[in-house]
Amino acid sequence: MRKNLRVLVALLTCVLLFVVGCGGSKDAATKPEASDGTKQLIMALDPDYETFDPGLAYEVYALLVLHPVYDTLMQFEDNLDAPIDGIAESHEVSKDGLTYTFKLHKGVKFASGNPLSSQDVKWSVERSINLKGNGAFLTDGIKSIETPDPDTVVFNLKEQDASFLTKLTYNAFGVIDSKLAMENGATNAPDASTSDKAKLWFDTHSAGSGPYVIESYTPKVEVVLARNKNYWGEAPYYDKVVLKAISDPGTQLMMLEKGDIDIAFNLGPEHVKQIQDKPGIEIKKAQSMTLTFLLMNRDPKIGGPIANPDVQKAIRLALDYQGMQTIAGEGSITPVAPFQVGFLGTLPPRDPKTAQDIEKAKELMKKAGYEKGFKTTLEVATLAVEGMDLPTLAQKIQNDLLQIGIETEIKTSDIMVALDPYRKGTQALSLWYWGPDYPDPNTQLAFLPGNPVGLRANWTAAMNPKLVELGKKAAVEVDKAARVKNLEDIQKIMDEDSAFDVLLQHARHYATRDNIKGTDYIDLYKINLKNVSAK
Amino acid sequence: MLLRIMKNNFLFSIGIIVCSLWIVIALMAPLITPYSYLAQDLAHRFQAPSSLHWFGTDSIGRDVFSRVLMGSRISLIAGLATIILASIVGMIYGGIAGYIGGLADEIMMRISEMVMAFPGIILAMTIAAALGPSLYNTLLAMVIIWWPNYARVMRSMVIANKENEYVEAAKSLGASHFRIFFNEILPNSVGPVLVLATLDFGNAILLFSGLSFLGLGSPPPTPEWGAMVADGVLNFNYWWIGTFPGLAILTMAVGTNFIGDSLRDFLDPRLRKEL
Repeated sequence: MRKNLRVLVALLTCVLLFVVGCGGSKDAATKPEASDGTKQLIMALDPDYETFDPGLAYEVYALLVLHPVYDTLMQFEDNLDAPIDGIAESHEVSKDGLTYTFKLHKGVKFASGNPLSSQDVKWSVERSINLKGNGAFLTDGIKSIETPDPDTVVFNLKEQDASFLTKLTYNAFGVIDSKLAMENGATNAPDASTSDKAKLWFDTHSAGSGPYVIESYTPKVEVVLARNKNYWGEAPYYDKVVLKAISDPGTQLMMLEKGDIDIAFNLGPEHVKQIQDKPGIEIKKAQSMTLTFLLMNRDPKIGGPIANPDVQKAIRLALDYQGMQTIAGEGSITPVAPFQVGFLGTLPPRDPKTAQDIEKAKELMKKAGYEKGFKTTLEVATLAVEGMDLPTLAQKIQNDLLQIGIETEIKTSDIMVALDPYRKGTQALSLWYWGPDYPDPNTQLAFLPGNPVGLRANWTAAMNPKLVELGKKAAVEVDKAARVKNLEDIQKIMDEDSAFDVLLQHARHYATRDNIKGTDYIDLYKINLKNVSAK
Repeated sequence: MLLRIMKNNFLFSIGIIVCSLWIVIALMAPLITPYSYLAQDLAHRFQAPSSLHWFGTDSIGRDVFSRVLMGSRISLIAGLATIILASIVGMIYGGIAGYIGGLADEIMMRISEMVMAFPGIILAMTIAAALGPSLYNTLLAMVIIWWPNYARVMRSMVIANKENEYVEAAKSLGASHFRIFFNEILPNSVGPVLVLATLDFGNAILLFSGLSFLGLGSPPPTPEWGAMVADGVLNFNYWWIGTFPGLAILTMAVGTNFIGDSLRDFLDPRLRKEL
């Protein structure tokens, strides 16, 4: 009897495990309450927001919420090429590129009913500067802000900055209703980082002039945006926008199929395949601005043979980019240098079919004196980038490098452990990812020798002075054509000589119900909620 | 003899069959795998089980069947190594504590209890993560959390045995402590420890798989079952990637537990019955 019982228990356990494994997780999703006729958009995403204080928020999804709530002087519409006027009616740049003058729309009111004036703009930006939040570096170049009259704001810069207008699209420059905010503990004083008490208030309230206001926020559950009845521009289609925090892509997918949500935002390439032919669903693909790249240290004490520029070039030629794009999913591409396709002046991506050249790579290895190859370590953090598992990609690289005699041992570690040696520049060969800090090629100049990311590979300014000089020019060049030329030259040089090999610019996969319009991807906002409507 | 035992004990025989099968597979693995366990084929990734790939292929087109077979080696070695090392450490430690007795015994046993007081898997995770993921570090972590079990059993056996007449005899003949301990007490005390070690073998394999599932085993592309199940979780739509290594863990753990349980039944006088 005992024996039989044990067999039974063992079998039952197997069955149970199987059922649990296959059952999938049912989320307690509710149907949108459209009974009273309010038009409601429900979007599911895996958010990272920490706060909705425009002076502090600097997370990936911060602008998804804050862009429709706080107006900015400049904004993006369809692409990231050039920002257009937001709450500014027009803007003017002085000849020396140091003074930016903005004329505001007249008669704009905040959601509270208070009128919006240039004083509010000045107050908001000063508050961001003094709060010293994660996004405060965007304000670094500002020398002073003047408000000659209620409709005019003048920014004086310390030095020329080709990306200044782009920086203005960030929530750090979002215009806050200063009267309302001050009533709730906000301040723009120099000691705002300690004396400002409005952070918590901003999480569940808003003080903007955008088409929506924050109605409620329950961390890890949802954010609800409601229509701003005092909005000065064209009213948005939806009365309410609900952003549900659902981290599991499988659950998002299921809810979308059932019609519980309108947008499922965090799907991997493999999930999209499952719903390819499902009626009522539209699959959306877009170019993400996230890069995955290989760092090759230039310091021989750290990198050993890896530090040799010829070896680094050989590695660039030995990798099978087509295979990597297969792993990363449809729509991923391989830029020539650390400049994303979609930015001003970026060269067309590599042709994955011809980018691999084993013969030439072997010649370079021979030239470098490593004909017989060598052994090294490939360091990788255990996490997924845009739905792609990094250690899986590392195994593909390991396989490719064997063809030119480089034997790698993969060393995996948690991201919190791996970040430290990466930032200190003590990794010989490692696999990393990068998202731009702001949507302008200037943010990518960090990869140049002597700059922060370049130095993580110990690629010092002395190693390629020409590149350094071009980078300095591109950062401040206000003339568009000259800037494009500069950026193109940088990429051409980096194709020949670089401590980095850009492997992938990822694709972003998401899906919507097919009656939803205006959900095109734009990296800064993810989706511009102002524009979403239904058929 | 073996046949008679197997005839009378259903679970024991299943355990023996399953385990010997895995041992044969582990020994012969390179000869019987249809593909190299490392060979990638991106054109044929995520292939469902078929006559070409019995267990399908994974996210970079490797043959899951070959990887599961090769993985048996690592699991068996990890299980064996943990048990052997932990029992050696535990036997020496517990033996010394029991033999010396008194204050030294108190202190030594409190130290071992401190180790036992930590939740095992969490302590192992902490150690493995702190030392960095590799096969040796994981084994070290497992030995560290495992040895106190054996130390306790060994100590109690030594305390019981050191009062025996033959120990007294050896003492009166003027034998050294070293000789008494290793020649008289140790051989008469190891029995229960060895049985306990056999019982633990399945658990050690399970713990090892658990740690490698969490990314704390050898680095990829080593075909560890736990890591392969983790890969299956990442690619949940393709059930075969995680299911087959999972079944391998299940059969090996259940098989060794069947053997261990039957052995315990046989050796425990209160549960004794015919094997």
